[in-house]
Amino acid sequence: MKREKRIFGVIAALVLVFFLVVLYRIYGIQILRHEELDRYSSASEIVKTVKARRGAIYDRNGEVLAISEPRVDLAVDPNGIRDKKGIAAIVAKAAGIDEQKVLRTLERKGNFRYLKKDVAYETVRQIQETREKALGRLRELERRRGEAGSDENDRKRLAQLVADLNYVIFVDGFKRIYPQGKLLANVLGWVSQHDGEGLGGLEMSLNKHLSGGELKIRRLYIPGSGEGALEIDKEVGGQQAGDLYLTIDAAIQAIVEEELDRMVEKTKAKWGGVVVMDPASGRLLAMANNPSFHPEDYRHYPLEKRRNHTVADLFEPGSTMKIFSILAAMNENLVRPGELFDGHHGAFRFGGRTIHDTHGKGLMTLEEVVVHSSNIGTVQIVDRLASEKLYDYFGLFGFGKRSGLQLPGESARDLRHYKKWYPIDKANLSFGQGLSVNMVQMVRALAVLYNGGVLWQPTIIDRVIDPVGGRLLYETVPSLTRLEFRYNVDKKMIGMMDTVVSKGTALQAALKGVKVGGKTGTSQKYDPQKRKYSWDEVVCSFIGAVPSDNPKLVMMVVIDEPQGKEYGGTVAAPVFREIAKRTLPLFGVYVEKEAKEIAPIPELAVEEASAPIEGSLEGKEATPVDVVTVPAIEGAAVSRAVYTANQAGLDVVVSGPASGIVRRQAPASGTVVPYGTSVLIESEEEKGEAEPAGEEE
Amino acid sequence: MPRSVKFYFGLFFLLVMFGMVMVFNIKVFVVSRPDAQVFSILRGQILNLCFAGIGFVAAYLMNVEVVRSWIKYLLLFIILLLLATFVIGTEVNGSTRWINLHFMMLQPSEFAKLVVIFYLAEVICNKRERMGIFQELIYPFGLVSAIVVVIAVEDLGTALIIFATAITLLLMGGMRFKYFAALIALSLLVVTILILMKPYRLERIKVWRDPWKYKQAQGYQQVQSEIALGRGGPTGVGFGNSQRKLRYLPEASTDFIFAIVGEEFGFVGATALVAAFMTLFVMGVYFALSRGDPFALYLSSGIVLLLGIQAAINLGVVTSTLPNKGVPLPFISYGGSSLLSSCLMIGFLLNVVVTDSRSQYQ
Repeated sequence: MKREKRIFGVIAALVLVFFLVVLYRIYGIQILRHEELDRYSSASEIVKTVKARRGAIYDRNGEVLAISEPRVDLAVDPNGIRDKKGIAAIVAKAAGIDEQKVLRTLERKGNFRYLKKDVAYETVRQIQETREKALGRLRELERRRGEAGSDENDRKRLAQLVADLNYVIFVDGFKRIYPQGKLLANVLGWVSQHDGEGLGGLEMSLNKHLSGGELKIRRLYIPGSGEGALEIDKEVGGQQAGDLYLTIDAAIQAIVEEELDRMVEKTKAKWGGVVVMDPASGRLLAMANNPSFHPEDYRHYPLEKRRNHTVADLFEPGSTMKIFSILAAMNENLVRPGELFDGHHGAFRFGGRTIHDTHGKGLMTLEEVVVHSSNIGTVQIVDRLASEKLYDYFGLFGFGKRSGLQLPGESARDLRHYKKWYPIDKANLSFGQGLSVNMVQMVRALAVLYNGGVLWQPTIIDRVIDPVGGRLLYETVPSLTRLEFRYNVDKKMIGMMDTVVSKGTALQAALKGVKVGGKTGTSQKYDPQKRKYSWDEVVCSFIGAVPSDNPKLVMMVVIDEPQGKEYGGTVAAPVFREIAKRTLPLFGVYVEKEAKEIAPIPELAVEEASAPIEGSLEGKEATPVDVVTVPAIEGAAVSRAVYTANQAGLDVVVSGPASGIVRRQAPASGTVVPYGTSVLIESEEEKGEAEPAGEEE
Repeated sequence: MPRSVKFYFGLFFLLVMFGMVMVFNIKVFVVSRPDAQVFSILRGQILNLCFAGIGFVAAYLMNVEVVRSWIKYLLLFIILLLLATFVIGTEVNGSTRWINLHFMMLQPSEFAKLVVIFYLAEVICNKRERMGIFQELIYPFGLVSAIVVVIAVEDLGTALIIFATAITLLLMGGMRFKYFAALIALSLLVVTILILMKPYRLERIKVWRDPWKYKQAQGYQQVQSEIALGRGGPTGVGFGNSQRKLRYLPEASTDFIFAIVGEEFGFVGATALVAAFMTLFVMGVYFALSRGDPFALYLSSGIVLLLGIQAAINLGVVTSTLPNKGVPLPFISYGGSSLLSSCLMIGFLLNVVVTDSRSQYQ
């Protein structure tokens, strides 16, 4: 058997040598030609920079309030396409648009024209598949080129089709989706449909975090088979956008909006707003406006409906302010329990003017002053307090200080310094006139009473988180200042406010089984033409806390200009009650069902006065709080408009490019608003020629 | 059982398992909707592995004498199957090599390899010294050539491997070298005629010499294979990170699987795999050369040589050392018939090695 083994050995050795040759070849390809060949593989990848997907907005439980989803826009390069009719037919069929319209676009000049925005995935797939199929057949024909039966015209037609389809462009982008519809819209704001940047609300003020930076994407193109080409994206660097978590609770917000909408519709009010805060932390749980808008098609809503009035509107707090001024006097031990105050039967001379109460009384206890909201009583109490002290206390309750919420267009006005007060000013301020506040400031002040003296900086933004790494990008660290309550004055005041609800003007806010404390307010609006307060237009409000012995919620309800003769106790207090009734179970607080209808409002409840000082309009400080008529700034350049508005004493929030011109403004020109109110303007880039030089001052 | 057999089996088993992992790795990323098809891929692979395992165990335990006595019927059966593919065959990628058995795609040419080796070993052992006589040679040579021609119609690569193995066995069995030389001359003549008949066939050679010139057409596969290998570089891009398996390289899970191994594991991994094949081959050759029984010698030589040539051709094609004629890489490439046939061969190889060495030492 030696011969056969020798032959086998020789053949086997040949095979072995071949293996070695293969190894040498592998060495040549993998080691020596590595860099050269690697370039070919990188050629099928492109590294491109894309805008990061805009961060989502969640409520405090992680419920989605706003999110960005991929969107593809269909565009063409008309200059590159030769067979316009053929391409128009393919594109029109895939995208479901009129063929003639597509053809017209294709026949225009230019390198880039949009055909349709936000096209369906199916459209993209169909067009890409058409191209892939053509390419596949083209390859096949090229392979058979020269062989019998291959059609040169066919090949040219396919090559043309493939080349033309390369000029059909898919533009990747994102669309902003608000899954909860109108919920929290005035707070969330809206983003531009054009470039996806935030233009209002939180979307604007936190745009820096939400829009993120540019992402580096490595896109691998995979040649198609039957299913069409694939593209695989891999992120290789860049800055992700942050996800925003709010302190708002969507469940509470939904209840609040529902109840508010109901009342605003019922009373045909001009506007209504609710702010709900957790007094223990200063976190805002709900912030509602009516009218509102749908952020996804913000363009169809007037600017006025998109404002967040709860922070942008200033108003005179009126009677509700008495809580704080009386509390200040009590805390300084200037009022003794059981002390009686003379009501002077409804007219009292003070500081050269006459102060009125609608329902004149004789002697009143401290509690009666509060429950009956007596101006005369309040003035006498506060008069014992030095102006400086009153000024300091107002500061400790946060009046005159911005709430610090990161919402655009918060209006706020400084308190006039006590050294500049006239004697009557102290009286004015003590019952809430001559100063302007926004709703958040009021709620924050009331929370001080209910949490034992802590003035929170209110928060609506909890944190911003990098969705990929989980890294904390931003966190609100609430700052606080403390007011020390002495002699249990806060408990006493809370008790008095409970009486307001159980016996006073706010009977409609009462709940069975849960203690409610609060204060109503009904302010007449100042009519600058008639130079007097008018009863035709009133602002009804209620501010309160529930349960008042262990407060979970501090809330303010404002109903602006309800139709008919309405008061804080008739329109705002019921909204408070309904909201409390439905949200308290979420905090584990049991609310008993009401057995019967609420008792009709006694005459007492209809006591409210907002023009307590007669003749004050003729004096030097003719208007209790400075008001401003909003100038007409529509059509002006933004810089010009801002200047004009600032000169008039208004703040401005610009939604849109700062270099453009003002398209819309809210409030409208001619509206009378308190000094310091912020005006929202929507600007657009001026089309056509550039702005003439020297336009700006 | 000798230690070398255990080592041989271990290495073989490792390669089969490596193949399973690689094939899954490639197939999963090639499908367009992975979640829907992963299960069916996995099921197919497990089924293939089961058949291969059963085949290996059966071949290892079977009495070779029984197969020897049936060889004529087996030969007839395989010829019928090969002919049947022309009638009831299923076309895959343009060639009709398979019969759909519904639980697997049967590729008769894969099994023809083993049958031919068995047949030649049997014939040579029967005829012994008479193999030198032309008339004795003509019948088995003609039969094998007929089988090779039938296979060549759809699967030229496999046909060539069988033919090369058969010629080697015949040479060992006593075929005169002048016939061998005449055969070579005849082959060259046939090739020349074929090229003269259709000149474009010459292009195949041109493509092989410079695939980059034809990279969008005939050279596409080889160019993609080179890019994949080249991308791997010294240490590779890492398991699962192949880019070229993503529809770039056709036949990534079958004939060109080695390119993906090279891409993912680099020169180090590719060399290790080639070294593993070389080890199996050298050990197989050693096994064959130490056989005392003539049948055991021819059978083991045939099996070792066939698998060695197949692996060498596959690697040669992937590295563009040879013109593109696809054959699967034994043990590694995807394909139920290919895996089953390879495992049967290894089973029979180890069977005769163990049986023969036992009788040698007794």
